[in-house]
Amino acid sequence: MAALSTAPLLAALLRQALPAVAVLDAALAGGGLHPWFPGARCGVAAPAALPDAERALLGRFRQRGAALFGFDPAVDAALLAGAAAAWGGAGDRLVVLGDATDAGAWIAGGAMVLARGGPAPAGCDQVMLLLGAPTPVERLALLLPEGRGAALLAALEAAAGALAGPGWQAGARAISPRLGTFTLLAPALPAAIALAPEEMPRDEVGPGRLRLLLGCLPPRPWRLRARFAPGTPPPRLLLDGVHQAARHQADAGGLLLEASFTPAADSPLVLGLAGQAVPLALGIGP
Amino acid sequence: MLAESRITAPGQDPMSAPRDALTVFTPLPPEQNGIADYAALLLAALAAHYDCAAACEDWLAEAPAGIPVIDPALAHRHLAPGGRVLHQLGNNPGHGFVLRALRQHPGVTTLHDPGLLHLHETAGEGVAAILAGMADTHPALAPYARHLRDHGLSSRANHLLFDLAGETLARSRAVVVHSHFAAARLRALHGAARTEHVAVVMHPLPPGSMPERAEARARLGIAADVFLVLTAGFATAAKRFDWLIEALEQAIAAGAELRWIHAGAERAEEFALSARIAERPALAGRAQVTGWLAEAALTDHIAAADVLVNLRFPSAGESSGTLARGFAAGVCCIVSDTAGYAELPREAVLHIPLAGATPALAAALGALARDPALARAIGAAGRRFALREMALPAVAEAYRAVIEEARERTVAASPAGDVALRVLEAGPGLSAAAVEAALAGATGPCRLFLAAPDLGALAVLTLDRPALLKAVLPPWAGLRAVRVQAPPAHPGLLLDLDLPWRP
Repeated sequence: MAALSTAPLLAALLRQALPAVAVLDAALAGGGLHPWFPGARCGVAAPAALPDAERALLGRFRQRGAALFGFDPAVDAALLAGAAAAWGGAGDRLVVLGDATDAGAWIAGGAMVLARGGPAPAGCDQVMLLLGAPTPVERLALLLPEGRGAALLAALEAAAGALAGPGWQAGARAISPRLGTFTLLAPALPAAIALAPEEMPRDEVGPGRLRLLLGCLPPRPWRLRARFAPGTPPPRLLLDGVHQAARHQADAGGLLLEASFTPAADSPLVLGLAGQAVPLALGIGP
Repeated sequence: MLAESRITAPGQDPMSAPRDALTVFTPLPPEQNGIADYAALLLAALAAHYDCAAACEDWLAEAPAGIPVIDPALAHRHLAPGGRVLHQLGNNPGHGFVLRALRQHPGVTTLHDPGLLHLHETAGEGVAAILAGMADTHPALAPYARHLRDHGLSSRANHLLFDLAGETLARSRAVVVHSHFAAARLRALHGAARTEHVAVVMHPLPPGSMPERAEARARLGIAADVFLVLTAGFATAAKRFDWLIEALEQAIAAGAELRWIHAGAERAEEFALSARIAERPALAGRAQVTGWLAEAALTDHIAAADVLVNLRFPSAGESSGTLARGFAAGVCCIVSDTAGYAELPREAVLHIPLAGATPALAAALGALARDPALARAIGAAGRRFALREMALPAVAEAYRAVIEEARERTVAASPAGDVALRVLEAGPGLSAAAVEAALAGATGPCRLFLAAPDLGALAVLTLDRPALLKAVLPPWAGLRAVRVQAPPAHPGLLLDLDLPWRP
């Protein structure tokens, strides 16, 4: 599944509408919200469906010291069951799935599900989302435990109002007590994002080698900025395992590394850093 | 301004006509490893046929000019389905990533050392994988495998008895070895059917010209009239420095004037070379151990030598980059009359028999030291042979032929992604054979449920048969966890196993 073009817009909307929500992005391999929703736990809903090498790659990553979702059956089961400790005590829980087919178990556990396709399970509330900036318009579904749809629809409407700028178009409509639609068209995406490296899925490969999972970025030109501590020797940068040209400059704030690239694949982009350097800050933008 | 760049498949040059891509999983310099040097040499030559990329665990490794180094863990994102892949596999932990890669990306594998036990022991493969490899050999060797399984005992003999090459043979579209001995050894251990895709490609000569003897000696500060005996590479026990030290002492006692340099690193846990030299007063002032040398310095030492001694016993059919350099330099090479070295033409090298090796070697060194022209004549013959049979373009062409011919060959499947669940009734007749049959075909993580009629029956069974699991589980099955499953689920024992590849 291709990267979600409207992920920056969607993430901003959800952060505004659900400020205390804990997010599990289980659509990492197919274009979920990562990296646009800082703090989201990342993973893959169906790792067995991945090609062997891709599964082995993602299985190496750790986020805040833990395996990604889909790679530790005990933790996965606790998350699915809605165990408070597994979710950090968060009240609102949102799970991002590529396909809604398996959403039923999550909703039964009290979580909301954001799905990009597939049939919705019976017995849940649903808000159909149409998002665009302004094109392409992408369609998603927010699936909720019964009785929570109306409140979410109102929260989305309020969030859009708070975010809106010139040229924004938003509309919410309750079609039935269980079904609503929400449309949001923005003239441009808030596409730049600052990333906290310590929050990101990482693979500390060995001395002087670090992989960070940047997520699925739409296939258009991007610029990556990484800042390192003063005095750090410039590391070599790899994207998806291939050496990448980069410019570096030192200033009072440390070493700044910049690289421009266009991701070619639909799989989550991997940043590799070769050298004794761990970034203090990362940013991705146009 | 930053240069705009797009992430493209390795080896692709959009401005040139498309060529077939070849991804080579291999260590590369500066890793201190002869196979790394070999791979750099081969990559440069294969670039005449393919758009090459080198997948190397060291992202800053030094590939030949124009050949990109990529992260092996991400190589799959750049490989076309069925794309051409070559693995360079040796028997040390620096090749762990190659072993893992060949499971995911079947291709042609160069087996530099048919014995892979040390690699398995040191690259995190686990005892279960080693036991599985041991199971893939002659039943008469089973007691040695049981020593490892039951007591954790592993002797040096295991490295000769168990090659652990079965998985590599099964998962490779073709396997390249460097001698007919190595091919025959694989065939003897694994059978004709499982080795019909093994090809022999000789170790290549290094490209370009070797330095002149006089130039090399000048750089190293060695006088022209010194008769120099050289050994090189890791000082392993199999290189029989014990024989060489004894022979040198005998030759010196018989009046030979010579000097010995070991151009390489010690591996003291195998053979304490410096300490053994220090025990021999006759070698004082005549012997030197340089430690590991970079390529240029190693080449200088070989070019400066009068004799290159390259003994092996036991030999598993491994290849020698040192020997190839010796041929290229026209240095007289002395080898053991065994394994692949016995295949070298009699006029191209001096063969030392295994029986009576020390006096034979002492006699040869003494004769050559007295008559250096004889050493030069043998070295020249060796060089002529090597130029004829081991030229790098010919070796690259041989590789190309193997790679192309092997493309359609199917290989053993890699472990399935889903965790397999096998169920077996855990009655009084539960046997090792039944468990092995139940696990047939499963690889990787696997669950075995030993179903009991009730928990009482399960308790009776485990009391009646102490160490039940040890008795019924095959030695290659790694037991990760055991859980008692109680009603309302079906009662029984749920075992989480890790099953390595096996034939």
